[in-house]
Amino acid sequence: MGLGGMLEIKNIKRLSITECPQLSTIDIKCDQLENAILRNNCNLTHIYINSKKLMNLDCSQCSKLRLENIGIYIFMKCNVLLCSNSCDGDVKRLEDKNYSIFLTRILRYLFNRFHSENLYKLDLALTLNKLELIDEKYYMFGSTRFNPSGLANNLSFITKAGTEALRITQQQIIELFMKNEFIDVLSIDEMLKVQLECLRVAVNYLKTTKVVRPLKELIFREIIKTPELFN
Amino acid sequence: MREEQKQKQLLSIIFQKGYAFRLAERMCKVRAVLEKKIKLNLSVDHFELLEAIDPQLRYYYEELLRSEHNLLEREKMMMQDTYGKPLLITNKLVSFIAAGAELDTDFDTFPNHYIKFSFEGPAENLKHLNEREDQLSVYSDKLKDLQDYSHATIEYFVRNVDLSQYEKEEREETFSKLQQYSNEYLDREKNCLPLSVIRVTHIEGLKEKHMKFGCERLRDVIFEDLSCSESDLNSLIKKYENGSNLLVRKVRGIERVG
Repeated sequence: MGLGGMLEIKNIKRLSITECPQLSTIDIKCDQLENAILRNNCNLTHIYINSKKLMNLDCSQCSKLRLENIGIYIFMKCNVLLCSNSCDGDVKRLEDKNYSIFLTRILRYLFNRFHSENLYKLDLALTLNKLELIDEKYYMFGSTRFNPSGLANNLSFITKAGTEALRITQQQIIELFMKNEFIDVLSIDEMLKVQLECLRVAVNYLKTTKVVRPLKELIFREIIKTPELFN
Repeated sequence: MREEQKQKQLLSIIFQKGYAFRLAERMCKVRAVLEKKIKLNLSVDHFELLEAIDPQLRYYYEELLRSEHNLLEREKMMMQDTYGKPLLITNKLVSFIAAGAELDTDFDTFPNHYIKFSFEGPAENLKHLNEREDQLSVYSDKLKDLQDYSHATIEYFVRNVDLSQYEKEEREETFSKLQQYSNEYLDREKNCLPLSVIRVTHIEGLKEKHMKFGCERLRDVIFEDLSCSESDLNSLIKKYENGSNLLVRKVRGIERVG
């Protein structure tokens, strides 16, 4: 068994845990795992799965499970089929609601963009290597490790990952958001929420730092248009 | 009359490849449940029959029917997700198909059945049913002397037969025979194959130390309808981690896997 009660399993490709009435937590590391069916566990509240190959996670009809308590390996190679919980929820493709995909898409975009423009002359292999390092640290999120309900946290997560791997600043990331750079990878409502959060972070930045660093004009203009952010 | 015209004529419908056997298998499962109930002079409801052939569907229907919501709301529950948007029908179908495939012999390849659409006529179906007749017989005859059965039939038995129809002593005896059989491949003189499946069912208080199945060539590990302590189950999962498919269903007494 691994650290922190995590169970390491070597070869399992397909895992099915269903109708276990007392089961509340699943915490496994399994590099080969491709499909996980965790249906009908009425007391299941937390899922942490660490697998680079996970393609399908089905946790339908687990009525106590909340999306924020699902931790999955953050850099997926493929789309993940996450199913929402409970009988009335049944099955739903959570492509847009799935924060791991949300974050992954943004990060991939960042890596692709910065690599292709050769801004920092980062070697792709090195970037991926960095990504792996980040994997180990942030491979999962849940109520205790990462809180996806606040987009501010998402933003700081993205920034941290971006800063570590690409050496770009938070301001640059905020700027990318404000320029609608992510419009291809995010839905409109996701985009607006993140932009608003970006502005809050920028305002906070202005309120808390004594030395006012030059904010990009674009961000500044948006802040001025939204004075209630200062309240 | 010409010679060709004297050939035996079969009148039947065509099935998708392998489905005549699957249908026969399901009927055998239903018959086994009915026979057991009749023997005990008990009635049977359709949930019990569904449990034998499609547990996921049984769970889904049961949840819906036992729900306190009114009919309109229940209908809505079937058609909507938690966000109030319509369900993607394809997902629902895939989910149900996948549910049915959970315990299939070849669930690695199950989507192919639905994609290929290759059909078989009556003669082929009959031939396949005859070839696998001994496998279907395990639903009605209790497995006694393992030497009388082929390796494929024993694996089929382990994978499919619901041991709840066995008395406790019979169940324990069968379990111990299978355990012994699973290790016989180690004896070269016996020229046996190792089992590719371990299925443990209907045991109260399963202990890790009691499980001594051989695990070479292991593919599927199934723990079903039993009670077990958390540490024992985690140790068992670790012990048989060579398998590529792990199924844990209706296991009582565990709060955490990990």
